[in-house]
Amino acid sequence: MKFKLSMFTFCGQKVKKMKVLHLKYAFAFLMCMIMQSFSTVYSQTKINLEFTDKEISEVFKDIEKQTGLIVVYNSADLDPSKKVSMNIKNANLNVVMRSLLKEEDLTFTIIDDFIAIFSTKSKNQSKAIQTFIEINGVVKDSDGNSLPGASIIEVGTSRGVTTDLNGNFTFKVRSKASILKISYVGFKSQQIVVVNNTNFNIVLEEDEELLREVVVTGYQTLPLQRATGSFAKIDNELLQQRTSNNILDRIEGFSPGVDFVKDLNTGRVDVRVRGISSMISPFTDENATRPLYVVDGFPIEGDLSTINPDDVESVTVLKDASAASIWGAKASNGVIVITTKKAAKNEKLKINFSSIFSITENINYSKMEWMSPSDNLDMILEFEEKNWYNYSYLAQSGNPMSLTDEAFILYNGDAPNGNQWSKAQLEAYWDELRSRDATKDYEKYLLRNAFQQTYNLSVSGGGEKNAFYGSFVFNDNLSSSIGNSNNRFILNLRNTYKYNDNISFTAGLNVSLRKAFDNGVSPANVLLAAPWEILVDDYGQTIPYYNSGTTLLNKWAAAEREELTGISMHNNILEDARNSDITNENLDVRANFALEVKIINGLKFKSSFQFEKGVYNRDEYYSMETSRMRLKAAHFYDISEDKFYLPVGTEYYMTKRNSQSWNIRNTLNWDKRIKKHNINLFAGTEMRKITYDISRDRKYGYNKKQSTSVYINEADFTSGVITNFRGYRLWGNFYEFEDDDIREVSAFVTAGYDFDNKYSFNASYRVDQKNLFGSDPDYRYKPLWSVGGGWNIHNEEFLKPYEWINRLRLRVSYGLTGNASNMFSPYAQASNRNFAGGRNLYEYLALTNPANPHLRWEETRVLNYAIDFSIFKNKLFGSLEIYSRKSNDLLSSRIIDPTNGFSSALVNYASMSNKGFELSLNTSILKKEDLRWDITLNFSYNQNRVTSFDNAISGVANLVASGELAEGKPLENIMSYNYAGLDEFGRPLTYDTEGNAKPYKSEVDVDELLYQGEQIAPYYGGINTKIYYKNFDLAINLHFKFGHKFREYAYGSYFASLGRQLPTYLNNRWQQPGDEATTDIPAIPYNQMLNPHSGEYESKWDVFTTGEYWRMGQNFIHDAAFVRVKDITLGYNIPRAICEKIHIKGLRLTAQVTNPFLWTANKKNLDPELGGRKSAWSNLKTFTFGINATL
Amino acid sequence: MKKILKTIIISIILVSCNNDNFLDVIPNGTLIPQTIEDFDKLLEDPFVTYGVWTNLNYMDPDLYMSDLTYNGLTDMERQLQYEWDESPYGLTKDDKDWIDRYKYIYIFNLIISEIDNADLGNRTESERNKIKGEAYAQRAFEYFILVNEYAHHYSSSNIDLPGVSLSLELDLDAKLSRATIGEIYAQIEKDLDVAEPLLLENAEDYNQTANFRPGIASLYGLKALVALYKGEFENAVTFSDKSLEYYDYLYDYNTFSLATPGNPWSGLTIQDFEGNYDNKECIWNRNLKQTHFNPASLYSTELADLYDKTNDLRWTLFSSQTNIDEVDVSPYFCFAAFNYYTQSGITTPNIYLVNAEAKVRTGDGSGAITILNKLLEKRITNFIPLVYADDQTTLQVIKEERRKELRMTGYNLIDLKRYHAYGESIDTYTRTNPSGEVFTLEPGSDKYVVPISEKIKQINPNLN
Repeated sequence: MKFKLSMFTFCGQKVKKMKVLHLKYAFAFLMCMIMQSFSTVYSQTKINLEFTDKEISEVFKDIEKQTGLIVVYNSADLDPSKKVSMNIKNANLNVVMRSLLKEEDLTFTIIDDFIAIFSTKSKNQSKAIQTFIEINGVVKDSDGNSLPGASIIEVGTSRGVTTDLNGNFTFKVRSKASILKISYVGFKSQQIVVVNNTNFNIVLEEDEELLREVVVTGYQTLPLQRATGSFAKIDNELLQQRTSNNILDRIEGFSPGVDFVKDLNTGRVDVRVRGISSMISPFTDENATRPLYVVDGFPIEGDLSTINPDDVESVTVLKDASAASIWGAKASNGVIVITTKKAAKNEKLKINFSSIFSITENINYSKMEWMSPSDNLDMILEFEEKNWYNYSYLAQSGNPMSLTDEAFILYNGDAPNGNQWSKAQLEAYWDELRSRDATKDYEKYLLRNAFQQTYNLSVSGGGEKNAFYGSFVFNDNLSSSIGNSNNRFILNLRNTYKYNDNISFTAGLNVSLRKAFDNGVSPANVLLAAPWEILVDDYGQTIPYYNSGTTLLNKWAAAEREELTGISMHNNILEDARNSDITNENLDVRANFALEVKIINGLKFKSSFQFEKGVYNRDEYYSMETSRMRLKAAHFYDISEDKFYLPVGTEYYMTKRNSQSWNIRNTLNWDKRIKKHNINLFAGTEMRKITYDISRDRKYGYNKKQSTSVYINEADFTSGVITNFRGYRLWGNFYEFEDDDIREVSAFVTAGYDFDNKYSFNASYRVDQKNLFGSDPDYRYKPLWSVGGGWNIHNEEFLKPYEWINRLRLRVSYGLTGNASNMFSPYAQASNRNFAGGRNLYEYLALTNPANPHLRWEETRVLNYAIDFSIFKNKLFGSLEIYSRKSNDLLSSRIIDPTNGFSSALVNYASMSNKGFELSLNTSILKKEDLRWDITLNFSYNQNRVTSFDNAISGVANLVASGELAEGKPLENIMSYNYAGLDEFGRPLTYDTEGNAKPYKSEVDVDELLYQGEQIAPYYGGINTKIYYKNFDLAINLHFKFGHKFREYAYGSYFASLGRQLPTYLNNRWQQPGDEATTDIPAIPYNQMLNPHSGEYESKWDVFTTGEYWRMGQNFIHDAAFVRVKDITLGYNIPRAICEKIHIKGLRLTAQVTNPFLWTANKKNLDPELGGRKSAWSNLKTFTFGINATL
Repeated sequence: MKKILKTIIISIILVSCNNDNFLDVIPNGTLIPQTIEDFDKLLEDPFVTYGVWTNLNYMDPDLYMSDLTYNGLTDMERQLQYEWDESPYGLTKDDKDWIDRYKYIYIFNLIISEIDNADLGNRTESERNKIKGEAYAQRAFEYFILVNEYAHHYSSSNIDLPGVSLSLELDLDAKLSRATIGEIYAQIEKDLDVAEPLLLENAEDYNQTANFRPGIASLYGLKALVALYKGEFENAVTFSDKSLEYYDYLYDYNTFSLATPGNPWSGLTIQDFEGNYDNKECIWNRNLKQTHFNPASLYSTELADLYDKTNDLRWTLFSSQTNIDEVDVSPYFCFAAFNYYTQSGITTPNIYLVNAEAKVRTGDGSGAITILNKLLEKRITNFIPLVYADDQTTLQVIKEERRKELRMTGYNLIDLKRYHAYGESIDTYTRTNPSGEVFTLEPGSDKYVVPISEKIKQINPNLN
């Protein structure tokens, strides 16, 4: 009988599923592939059975359900349809089995996850005759190489043999119930029950223990125990826990050394692997600071949102040089390797369907703790009292103005139409404003609960020659702003075809279509409105305002123009939102093809090609229903000539971006095992070309149906021949075009050597070149390299006695990785600009960068030490890594003598270090048949320091705003004024170095500032715990960060936010002498007049500076430590019996809540990840429900 | 199998051989200036006009700051400059005047070093020569601007005093020290001598669309100024005559008026002076880009008294006793110019005045009056032509007209330095700040010289 053991190399769960279909046909043999697992004594389980005349196969199912074990038997020995009856409570498994089998000549054995049933006849016979059964076989690896010296031991005895040079063995066993254990160093041991077989063809799988035991560099897949680098892998189970549409969200917090840094002001998320290693701002070049994202072997140019997270099998983060330097000049920031799912050969067709719905709690502006409209108005009245408004000038200017300005003008009798209000009218109006609350309207008319739905279908299967995986996902998201939504379709296909034993092809295609409607207004827009600027009146009609900067005119001044043009010049945000028509569309196609040829045994050639194409379209239509176009048309109306310079109608602004890249790679891989020596050589070359072009155009008087527009003389507009009634040129360009062409060539080689699965060595070497870099021959073809060594101590003889140590491994690696930016070039660079000066349009070149022939890669030298361990029968395992990353030749703006032409030049000179450690621990606290509790902890420490930097001279204001860039300090740090409260006139004081309060208006020196610490958490990590109880599972993910600081945003510059929403605490500002004892919030200064308290002259200048010392002082710096429960997921697997009834393999229901809890160290309960502001619209709780069915 | 192997090896070799060809493509997205057209467009950069002599603005004794306007200055260095401080910038602030001038010197150096070998493209050799001539002329002009801002005036006794750095090469790492005033002037003249034949043959008389680029009139204008500043008055007459021969346009102030009658802040009925790009008097545009409205620049009483407040249109169009916020500033007067930069480059009225001054200094007093009358009839209503009396009076009139015509441009401060270098007597000026501190500017004092900022000196100690 011929069969392959490898087919059954499943993890326990898969065997269970298989059993349902196959067990009824119970094979004539019996075998169990047993993986190392957390062993438990199932026989201690108490079983309850009560039935009459039930088929024995059904009874076994009940037992399986109650014990979690699988019953295997030979239908020749036992008729599955045999009827039995039983009434047993709280019985031991052994008792149950014995009573079930008592009438048969059968016995059973429990081997790990299986209950194996045998005929006792042979056993008795063998005992009686005392003869042995002779068996023979061959042991091979999965590539068909025979394994000489493999050991075959009969379990429970001391008897055994080893295979000969050809991997063959002959052995005598005592009975059919004997269990053989076949082991070979570096391979998974197997246990086989002999049953009726005498000839075994055993294929040992390489020792990958669990899936995470293989590491993927993107180029190669290496057995973990030979890898010397630092890899962090997030497997499919963890990836499936969260339901986010973005793969990055799904890995947050699961991997040590990978920090998700939220930009305090923009909300963007930077993924940092072991700290930041470039000083290039992500705003300058995002690609230069983020990790390299590799999908199925190729770096991707397109967005990560082109990937369906449900297609992802695993994500591996490459953290040190040994792991990453194969990626050369792009690896300095770490590499994130995403591997998508593929089907295996001879895999049955599997269909998976999942659907997810999520809803986010609604936005409640009261969380913002804003001043009441009444208090806000009082503040405006205080400003008015302090001479801040010049109403006659404002009335004359015709400029747009706020409601309060309008009221003052009416009261002062400055209204151009001659109207005047009495004191009583003014007071009544104030009362009216005090009673309005705009936030209620914003909540009602502009916001809703965000709602998200996802439908995902995947199909996979494989035959002898062909394996196929295909998936399709549809996401539909309604954002919390009414009018904003987006959807996404992704189709992913992957097919592997095996032409013969030596040649195979893989082809993959990923197509994503994303569409976003961008017609709503952000919840933050309420910040731009006065507290009393409600959106609609009592009758639901939108209220016209003449208060925005774009209106250019107030209601009185607009009246004449409105009458002539027939165009109303008001604005109302609700009206604009309702009439907006803006769409973004992305179509991304990624196709790849690979040919793999086995040239001779062990030598493989692989040629792969990837092509990416991305098309982005943004269409913005501004009809006359929107204030934007209405105002433009009205502003460009010439009263004297009664002429509209801009066509009345729709403005159409389009943006098109085309990008494509191709990548060719040829590699040779040679694997050779000579006795205990394993050698791997891998070499290849790669070429890459990335091109893109962007064009933008703008049309007026656009007719969407006919795609026609009205011709206008663009040159007259851009050069300023035609201006609006105020003499301003039309803003916004007409046609624009830009393109780029980036080329790269690389060659690389890696070598791996492993002796006896104990000692391993790795080395890699790579040369990259790019058309933008290294015109100086000294720097062209600069090599990047790594070396690493590993020692599997657990395979040493001297550790054998310590059975509780299952794994102990040391790794050391060192190497050089690079980082490059597309933004910089060795040549003097200029950019094309336009400037309209007077009546002339200058098309000129602005010199932007000086020539720098020495430009080269940034480089990072990484030293990594690691220890991996697994103890107590693998109940506790984890690793500890210690690293030092020294980044040199960092591109940074160096202050140079401006006499040489530039005040600063971007040169490779700065350096920075990141040192730290990472600990990851996994443990199974409890493991019973019904209850399991796993905990995973990861904890990272990273110390970032600038190690060399030209001492840039920075002013006090600069240091306080952006921290100090200096040697010995972390790159991102916070400095503050040493605020000393208020003087007797409510003016701010600061402390000098002696601790004496300095009077207001004395200059603050640099050394009087306080260094507050770093902005990026040095300590961070996550705790993920999962509890399984019967069919339920509960997962809780928690993140924490500490050791850093953040600055709370304070509305110190009163003037900037005056008339808008302001925080409640400003009610405590200094208002009269004596207040300084109870408050440290400065008084509102007077404008261009004497302050009656101090007798000193005050001006606009004071309003800018007074608040500054206060808001940039130490009182607004807080400890940023926090612990966030990121999500809690409850899952329920529908019992198999029910699934079978509805003819499916599995059905799972999940419910998840995101952001349920946050603990913060700061007393104000501000979320440190939200830029120090209160935000009613970020990190909201989201509730998600999902269903997942497997057919 | 062997075939496959062969193919593979060949393909790998092919990939490795073509690397340099494949890579030597300069990306389009980044523009590397290398053709005549590129250099032409570098010279077309209108921002070359920005930020000239802003340091001199508040140092000029003809500008006055009341407590109101002094307190309205948000930049500490401007207050310090008003006090003729010896280190207004300290270690932290940037001196934009210095930075911008040397930034453009870098561009002119780049053009000078590459123009001879540059790809002609669709341009002509004549254009190459014109661009080359312009680059030399522009470099000369920048050094002229710099040396008059950061050094004592050229004179036989000052000639070996430190001037500014002479940067003529592209070298970001250079640590230049200061060349002497004499060396700077020598370089200016050398560059102008290279430029002269190139522009004469290839350039227009006056570049009307890009008035920050020199034409022939501009070149001679600069030569006239250089000669005047060196005290070579005969040459100054010759060159200013030549300049005016090529281009001598003057606006007649009688032909325009205030946009809103009675409100000088409302601007003029012509927009030519806003930004100066359309200013037809401007033959080599360089703006003193100081906002004169926020806070207002006040006329010193002495300067205000020089104007005929009824008939002089330079006064009636540009003075007001309220600031832009309608705050009363009396008894002082604001220089009422909103959206308006004064011209520190070379203008035709300046050349008229140079011509007149050079003429009177070479004994042609009546010739001086003739040329002066040509200017003044365009500035004053009901103008009665001046009559020549004597050289001394004529020189005094010309000096006063320079102050009135070139107010708020920085020229007055340089003229005071210059007159002192000629050995003529100038006043000692004093100022008081709101705290009551008194500051004095003595003739020939170092306070006439803008100090190189401490920050730059710290980066390059050779500038100390």
